[in-house]
Amino acid sequence: MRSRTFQEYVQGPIQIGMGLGIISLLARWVTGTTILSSPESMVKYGVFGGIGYALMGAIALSMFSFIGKRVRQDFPVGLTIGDYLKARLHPLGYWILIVILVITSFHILFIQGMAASTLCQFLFDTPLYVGLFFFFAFCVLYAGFGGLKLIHGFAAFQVIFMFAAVILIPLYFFVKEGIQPVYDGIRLYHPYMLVINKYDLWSFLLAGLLVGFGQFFFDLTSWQRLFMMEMKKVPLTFSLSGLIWIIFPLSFSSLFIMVIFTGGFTDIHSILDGLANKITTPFFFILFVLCAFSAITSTFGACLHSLVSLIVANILEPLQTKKNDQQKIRLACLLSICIGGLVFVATIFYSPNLLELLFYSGNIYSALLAPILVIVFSKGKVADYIPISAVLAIVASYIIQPYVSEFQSIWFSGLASLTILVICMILTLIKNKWKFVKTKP
Amino acid sequence: MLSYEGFTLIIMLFILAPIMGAIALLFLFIFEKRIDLLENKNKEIRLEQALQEAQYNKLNQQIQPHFLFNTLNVILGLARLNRTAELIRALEAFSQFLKFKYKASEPLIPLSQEIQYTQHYLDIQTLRFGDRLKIDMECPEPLSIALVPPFILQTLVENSFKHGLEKKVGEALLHIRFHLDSQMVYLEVADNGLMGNESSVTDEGGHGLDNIQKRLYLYFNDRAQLNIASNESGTKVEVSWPLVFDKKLEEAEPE
Repeated sequence: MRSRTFQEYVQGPIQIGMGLGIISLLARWVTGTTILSSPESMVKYGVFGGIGYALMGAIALSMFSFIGKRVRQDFPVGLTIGDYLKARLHPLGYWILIVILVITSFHILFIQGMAASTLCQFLFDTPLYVGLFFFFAFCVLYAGFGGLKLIHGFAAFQVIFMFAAVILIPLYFFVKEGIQPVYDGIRLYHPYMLVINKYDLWSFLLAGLLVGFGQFFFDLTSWQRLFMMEMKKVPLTFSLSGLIWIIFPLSFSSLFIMVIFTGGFTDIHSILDGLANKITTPFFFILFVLCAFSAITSTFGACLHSLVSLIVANILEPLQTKKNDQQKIRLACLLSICIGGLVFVATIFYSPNLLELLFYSGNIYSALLAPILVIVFSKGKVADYIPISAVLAIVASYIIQPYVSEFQSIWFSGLASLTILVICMILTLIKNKWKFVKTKP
Repeated sequence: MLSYEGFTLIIMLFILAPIMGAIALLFLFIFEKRIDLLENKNKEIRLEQALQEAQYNKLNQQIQPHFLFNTLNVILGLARLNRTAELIRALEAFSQFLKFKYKASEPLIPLSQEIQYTQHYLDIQTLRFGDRLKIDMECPEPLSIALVPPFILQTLVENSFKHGLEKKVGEALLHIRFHLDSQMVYLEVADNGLMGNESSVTDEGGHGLDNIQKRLYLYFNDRAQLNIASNESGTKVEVSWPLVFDKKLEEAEPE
């Protein structure tokens, strides 16, 4: 199973079609966050919060098809987003975005580590570091060492487990219990969940859309899959992936509905405990655990592999003399161990709330949305002020964060980068016109 | 407040959505290969049709009595003057040229082959034009094993003669240049011929150019381009398509 060339390690042996493309994207995008945050958003913002969360992700993934089509037309050959950015940006802008990409990728890995730790705490009585060690070791081995070939080999099984769980468990439960007691229970214990016009819901959806778009448009794995697909199948693969992805947050929300209708809860851990008590059949319990681990490991594996590929191909290669393919693969394996170890230590020593973590990175993704769209849809090399606008917006949004709400700082971040971009564009236009007038005889 | 009926509908959606998703994915896995196969077959058939059309156009348009008589007159002249060596070369070039019209049946052929066949046509034209004709052909060595759609160079060269150089008084110049840029092959054919009027290219040569465009689109979609620019000093046609290599030739190529 060992890859012969570095390209094979990053892209696999052949171009992928629609079926494998969708599986690969689902494996990346059905994450620990989908399992835990979509029910949390439903619990916080009502049933429509859960539906809204699903819709935001699906719309963002489908919209990536437009970006994907444009990118592949302009830049048909490449391995990573770094290759594309190198072609479109000047060195300063390129390195700014590469640094942001590495930071956001570490953040995603950390979130998956957190989701894994939540699941380990819920499942095993052993100390947390034992369960997490096995989780990280497994991910490093199959994704870091195996390369894309092994990732795709596992992705098929992981997606089957996820589908089996989200189809069978809610179906079994609702056929057995009926819908009426669930509805009555929710109305009794959590009536706010059935209310549609909660002001916070719309704020959540708007901020979520900004974060979702930024996150999907600036994701290492999605871009890497984009370069692997047959060009004509890119738009349909991303659109269908979005459409199929929507079912996962919806189904995980329905799983949690099965728990909360019987009484109150304190946090996501108490819901997980409730779920364990509710799924009494061992088969369904094992299926749920497999589904959760599949979602977390597939995302962690895909992100780890993309990050390692980016570091080797776009960070280390320009900085040192050329290495041969086997040396690059060895370097990638070594980096996987280092990154896995780093995230393991961070997960053990730091444990923030999951939704909190998601919003913490929201500012970054929201600020990146306008610059990435400008980079993709403009012609030729783009100016450095585009990536710089994202950095300024991120810094400004973190400065004002203590004084405003989470949602407002996300809106501010997106709006700030857009405003800076528009001002810079107008100034460049005026400057060019002035130059033209001056040079005219 | 959400009613019981509304809640039931939402739960139904939550349950049915994964089933539909799984069915859609399964359907894709089962039928994607077949759809691809049918699409490729369809493309292959259209390519074959376009190629046949190209061959037909060649026979119909380019081996016109006008060209045939002129060439035969040159050959006759050489025979009358007892210039045996040149006569043999002319007949050889003419027969090789005719042979290719019936031979090319692949959608892509190596560039060296296309150049070789075009050269036969150029040899005949050199005999006709004599010292008046100056041909300048540039092709980087590594590109010789790159694959090109057949008749592309030949059609463009023939168009240059037909619409420009035939009517040109004095020195007739023809520049042919292949070059590689960002994994794209570029071909430029420029002449200093006088364009009678714009319509002549689009009407008469139009079939040839249309056919080139059609075949390029079938093979490379939007990644191939054809541009034509004409003014008083001549005509320049530029065609570009993605670089493709013949695996067998690439392996046979010495390091």
